[in-house]
Amino acid sequence: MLAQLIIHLCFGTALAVAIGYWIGTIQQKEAPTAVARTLYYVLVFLVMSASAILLVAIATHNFDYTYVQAYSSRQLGPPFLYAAFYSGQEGSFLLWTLLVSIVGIAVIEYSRPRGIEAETMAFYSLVLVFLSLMLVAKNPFAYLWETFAREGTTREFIEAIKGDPTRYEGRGLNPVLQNYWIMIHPPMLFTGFAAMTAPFAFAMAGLWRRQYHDWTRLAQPWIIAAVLVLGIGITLGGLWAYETLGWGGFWAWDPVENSSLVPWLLATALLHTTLVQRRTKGLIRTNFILAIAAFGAVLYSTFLTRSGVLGDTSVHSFVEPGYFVYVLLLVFLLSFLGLGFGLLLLRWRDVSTQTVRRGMFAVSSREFLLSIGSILLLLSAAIVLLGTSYPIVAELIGKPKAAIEPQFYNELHLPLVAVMLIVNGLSLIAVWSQTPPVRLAKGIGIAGGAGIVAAAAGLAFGIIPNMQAALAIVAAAIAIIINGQHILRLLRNRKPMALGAFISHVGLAILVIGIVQWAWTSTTTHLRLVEGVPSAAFDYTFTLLGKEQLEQHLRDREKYRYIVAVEKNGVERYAYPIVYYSDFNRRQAPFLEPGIISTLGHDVYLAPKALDVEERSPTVTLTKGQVQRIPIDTSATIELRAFDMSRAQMSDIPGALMLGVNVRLRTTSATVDTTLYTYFNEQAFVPKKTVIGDLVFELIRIERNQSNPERSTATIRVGTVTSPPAPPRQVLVLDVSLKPMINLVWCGFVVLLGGVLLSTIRAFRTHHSPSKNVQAHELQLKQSSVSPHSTTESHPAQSLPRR
Amino acid sequence: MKARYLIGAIALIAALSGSVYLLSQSQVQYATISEARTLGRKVQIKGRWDAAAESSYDQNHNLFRFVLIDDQGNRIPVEYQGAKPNNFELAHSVVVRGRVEGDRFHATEILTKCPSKYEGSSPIAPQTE
Repeated sequence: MLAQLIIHLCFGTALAVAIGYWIGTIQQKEAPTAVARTLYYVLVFLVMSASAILLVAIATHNFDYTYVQAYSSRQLGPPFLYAAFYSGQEGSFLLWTLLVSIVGIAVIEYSRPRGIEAETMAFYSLVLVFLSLMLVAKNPFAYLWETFAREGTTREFIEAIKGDPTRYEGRGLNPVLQNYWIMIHPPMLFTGFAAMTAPFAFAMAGLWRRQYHDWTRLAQPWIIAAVLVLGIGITLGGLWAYETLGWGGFWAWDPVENSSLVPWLLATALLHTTLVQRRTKGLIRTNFILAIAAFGAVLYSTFLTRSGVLGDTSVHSFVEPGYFVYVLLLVFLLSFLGLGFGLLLLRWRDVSTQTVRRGMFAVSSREFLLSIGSILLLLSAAIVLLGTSYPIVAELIGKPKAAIEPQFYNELHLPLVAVMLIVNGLSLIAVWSQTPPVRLAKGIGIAGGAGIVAAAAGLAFGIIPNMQAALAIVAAAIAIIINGQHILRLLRNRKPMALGAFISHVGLAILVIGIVQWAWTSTTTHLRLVEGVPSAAFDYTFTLLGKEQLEQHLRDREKYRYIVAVEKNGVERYAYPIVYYSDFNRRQAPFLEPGIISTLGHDVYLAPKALDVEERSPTVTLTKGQVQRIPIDTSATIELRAFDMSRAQMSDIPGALMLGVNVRLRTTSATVDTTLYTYFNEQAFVPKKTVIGDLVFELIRIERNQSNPERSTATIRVGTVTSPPAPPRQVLVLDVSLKPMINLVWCGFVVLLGGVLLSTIRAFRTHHSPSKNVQAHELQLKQSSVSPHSTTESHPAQSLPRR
Repeated sequence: MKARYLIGAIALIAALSGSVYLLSQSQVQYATISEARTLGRKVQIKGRWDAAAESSYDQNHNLFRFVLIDDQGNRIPVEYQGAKPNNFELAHSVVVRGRVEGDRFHATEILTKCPSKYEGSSPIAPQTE
């Protein structure tokens, strides 16, 4: 009861905080702001308490709560037990609320000394109002007897079964999710989402206060931090998909992946356009639009993935949450878009009164090229948004429902990214205001020439697969060379902290090279590995050696990893693909994880598909009434007279059914009627030996045909006393792929995000002290405007425009 | 000055119309079995698998065969290049993506939807299904 009360209190307090900050904003007084601030800390405490209660409930297996019952179980130990916190909708909303409220403390600390606390938090706290309202609607502390009241579950019933650990048990966490990725990927993504709230609040506060320029400087560290954290979250998702889910790739253009990419692309564009505004006083409205859109994209992403609208097109989508949540999410999205764009429209003309910059950017200026780069990022966001939303749009306009193929995204992004990299290179050669065309031509000529030579060599030696890839690689080379020049110059001038942006661009270029090489040169083949029998594919020899059991303490599964020796030129390494069944899905289908052998140049990727056995002894398969000759003694016949389930429950092996078939054996000398037995433990048959004369029989399989029992079959393995029937050999069916350059892809991600990390640290350092930040700001702008060849000379066009 | 706006607008419209064209090219429409037969191009069919008919996995050719019943109750044998998908037996609906060739449907992808996906049975609470 307490927990439910706290959730309602959260909503009430969030509302009070918002009202307090709004009064403070409108009256321009400190008193209401101070009250709101105190209430804000109360709110943070309440959200933390609710989170702590949920965590304790999960840890103590309190299955009174529907949420705890649905996503955890007694079998689940730490750390995955704690992942149950955010494995379902209710808990993940709580996590999001928690993270937004904690980030809010930092926003207060940051905005208060700068005198913009009331306005910033007035908008920021509105987000918390909606999030806590969502928690009231999707309460993680609903009791089973509340959730399932209509199905007749009563509190008395739950109390009555509490003593019985087999009945008072949770459903558990999907085994697919039980690996270390779930400990880091979702929290990182949610932190990224939470971080996106801050730039939005700063932008809105700027609009409200009619200070159209200052907010870009204040929001800058927050935008970079959001790009960093969300970027890490997205990358971790890719690693997860590749390393354990066995998708074979790191990006599948799945709607859920896409909808986290769109906010990232918009925030990245915003990062570049706010840089332009700080330098030129232009793009004011553009930046407001982008800040609102980036946050809107976060909300839209939530709507897409949590409302069930994409039910048929995504592997991620959750259970349909109900109509109320659908509407609430839609209202959430539309309210903030309405609020943001509404206020912007109100200020639309007023912005012109403050704009210093008049007219257009010169084509040869850095600001123009940065804008083009941002437009390309926006185009990418638009493409991803269009493709992801298409199924909904199609439904709205009454067209037949359709899904979008990954080729749509791939084919459009290849030229887009190539142009983006070239524009990036040009923007770095260019200086602010205006660049002599000769300088642009010279800079791009050198880098482009070197890129073309490299790509031509790659094509000639067959390293680069085709012309399209070669063009992308030329673009990437241009970006690497030009950014590399800047990196070297900054290192010479001992300014390592300023390297961030350039490192990120190099990372993107490496990523592009990795992706085109990987995409066009990966090859897959199908292998059927019989235990002990070597099979060859791509210069490698694969041999299944055996299996070993993992996670033996877990009773819901017998998890095996299969040991595959992978040999090339006398060097043997081992891959461990995993196949197992779990009670989680009633052992209906296997859970699969790939085995990967990483080398510097490529990965050998073993994606298991199925298990089978190969019989070494002769077998006969019979339907009821059928007579067949015995393979090793053709003078004898065997007839299946009936399936015999009479002793099914009388098995001497616990937990297994004892199944039988009545057979009649005719040899030249005699006719014998007997029953062959096998034990069945839901997963495998364990035959019982039956010896008749010098023949040995083992009933190894019964296949029931539900709709036509006459077509049910029994399979019997036959041997003799001197050469008894041998156990079958294991067979592992897999897809083996050679994935060249996958390490270049990972390297690209790491370098890209490493650069952003460096920029984040620098941005927060620069903004650390409010009194110093004007100086620091100027210093930073000077640094970023310095061109490679003019470190000492001062350019008249480069001086800072002043209001 | 105006000319640059015009060029920008034209470039943007070109880029967007290009992507819309590609979008129309790469969308895979939902169809019924009879529509899939007449269309002949790549479509996706939503339905369920026929539990009464044979379903088998041919390991040597990596082919999974089963019979699909669409929402109108028509049947078509499906051949899928790959192993039997996870959760296939549990799936209450199946979406296959591919094209009709001859008398059978060649699927390149199978999507399975399970009753309350990723959730096992609850020993406590009655299922909402």
